[in-house]
Amino acid sequence: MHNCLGQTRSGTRQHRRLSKGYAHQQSKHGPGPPSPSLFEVEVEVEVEVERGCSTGPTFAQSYEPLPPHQPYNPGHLPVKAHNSPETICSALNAFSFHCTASNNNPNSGSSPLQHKLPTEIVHKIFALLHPTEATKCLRLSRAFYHCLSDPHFAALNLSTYINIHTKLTSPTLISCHEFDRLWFKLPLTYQLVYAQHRLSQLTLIAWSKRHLRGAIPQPLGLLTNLVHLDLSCNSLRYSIPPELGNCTRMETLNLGANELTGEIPYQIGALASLKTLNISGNHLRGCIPWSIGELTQLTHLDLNSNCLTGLIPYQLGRLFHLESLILNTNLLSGWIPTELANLVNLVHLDIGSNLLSGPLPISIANLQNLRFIVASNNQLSGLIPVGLSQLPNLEYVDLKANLLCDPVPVGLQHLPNLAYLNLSDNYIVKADVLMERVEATWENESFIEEDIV
Amino acid sequence: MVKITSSDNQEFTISKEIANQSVLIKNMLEDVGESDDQPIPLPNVSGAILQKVIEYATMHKDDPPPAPEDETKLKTSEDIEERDKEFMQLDQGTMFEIILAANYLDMKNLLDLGCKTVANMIKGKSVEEVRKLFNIVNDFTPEEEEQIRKENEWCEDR
Repeated sequence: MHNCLGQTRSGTRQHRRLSKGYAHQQSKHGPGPPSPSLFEVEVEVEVEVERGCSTGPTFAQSYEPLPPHQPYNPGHLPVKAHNSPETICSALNAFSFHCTASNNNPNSGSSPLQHKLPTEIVHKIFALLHPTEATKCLRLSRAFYHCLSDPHFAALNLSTYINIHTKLTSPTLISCHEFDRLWFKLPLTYQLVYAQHRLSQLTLIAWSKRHLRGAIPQPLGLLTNLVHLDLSCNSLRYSIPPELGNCTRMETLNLGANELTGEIPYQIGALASLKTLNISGNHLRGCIPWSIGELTQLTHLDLNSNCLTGLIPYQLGRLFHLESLILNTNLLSGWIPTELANLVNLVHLDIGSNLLSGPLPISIANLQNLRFIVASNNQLSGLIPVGLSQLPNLEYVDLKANLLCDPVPVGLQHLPNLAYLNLSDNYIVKADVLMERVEATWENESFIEEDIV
Repeated sequence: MVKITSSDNQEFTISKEIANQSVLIKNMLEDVGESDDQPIPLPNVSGAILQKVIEYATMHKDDPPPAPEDETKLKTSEDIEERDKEFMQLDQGTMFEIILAANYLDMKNLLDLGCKTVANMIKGKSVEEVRKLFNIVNDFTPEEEEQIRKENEWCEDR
């Protein structure tokens, strides 16, 4: 009955704030009280509230989400003397309870820092530490874990080091402040406060190659003004937060070349304004969510070099504006959906190095703007459709290492712009001859690299 | 002059400018009026602590009035005056009593000083060292502690 840090009415809510791992531990031990000491804290809380001992905002109050853009008001002022003597008296009594409670316990084993100080003073002290150091202090004891997990503390702590209440003057953020980098590492409470106060107005974040480590913060979903987000070429890990689906103004999302795992959240289909989606070069698993077919403004979709499995969703055939569809180097299987033939604006199609089977769709003839097609290293079988030889803009055709067979459409090697044709490692007898013939007219290989988006 | 009494009934007579450094006493004086020469009871502060607090207030009685709170000014625990550092060379028990007294008496500068002093004691120390310094009992199971450490491991190698 002397634990001032445990001064909370929201014992259960506090528990929920405990780590997943901890919750897991509780469930492992069955439905009983999780542990005696945690239970004690809760009991203490009840009694304390009954006696009306409270010198500051209770956790119950402080757990309400912060209203956006409202500066944190450190309401930790001590009792004020008001006109009525009763008020003074009761206020004094309430406060003296703290002191007598601790005085009654001359137990030398107790820590004054933990047991004597009211929450707001503990907040005040720890807020002076660097957030990384304050976060470390979560491990001190249960009482500190509860006390320092409070979002109000996160706000107080951050405001010691950075003017979180000063709005960024520019809506674009290209430079990366120490705390921008920390945003990816700090606990969720800090991430929330930082997103709400500092980043919420931004329309562009371009932090490619900023040595970012950690996870993509869930509170990114609060940045609903974002139009461009580039976090490519960093070392971000774990899954893509589904909250990202809240950023409905987003036009460019580039998370390429990180170490992301998990599945692509289907909520990504909510980004109705999206024009460019690049999540290439990660460790994503699972299927391509069909909801990507909702992104009808999409012009560039690049999911190459992941571990994506399953079929290419036929819904991609609805992305009429798509100019490049890059799905190579995954584990995609099944047939190529004929619906892809609807993508009449497609310039660049790369579905190489997957486990795709079945024929190249005949309807490929619809892709009149196609310049690059790579479908190498699959198990595609049957004939090369005649339609392919009717695509006037075709420059680059790589179908090597499949199960395709003769005869090759006659017109193919005569296409006016064709600069590269590779049909080797198929059941095509004269593949080498065809290739040589094309290569003879091949002048400048390098332009391909430039043209690939 | 103003009379105040501690929880153990020690009476102190202090000048008004010293008394006014406590917003609590200042407000009380305004409420009861100056004619009243009844001592002001301070039931939460012992005589020994009150003695120290008065010492601090006397030391700072000639300080210029505090600048209005600047929202944009960042706080730091590094900017402690030398005389204040010396003043805070106390055993932990007394130090925390002074912090509590400063909070109760609403003496912002003294409360800030106390908090900064404690923060500086924590800075740069490992979790185990902080526990030892403040006699904090680790009531986590090793698994729980490991879990919390893991969740924040990025944080710790910045």
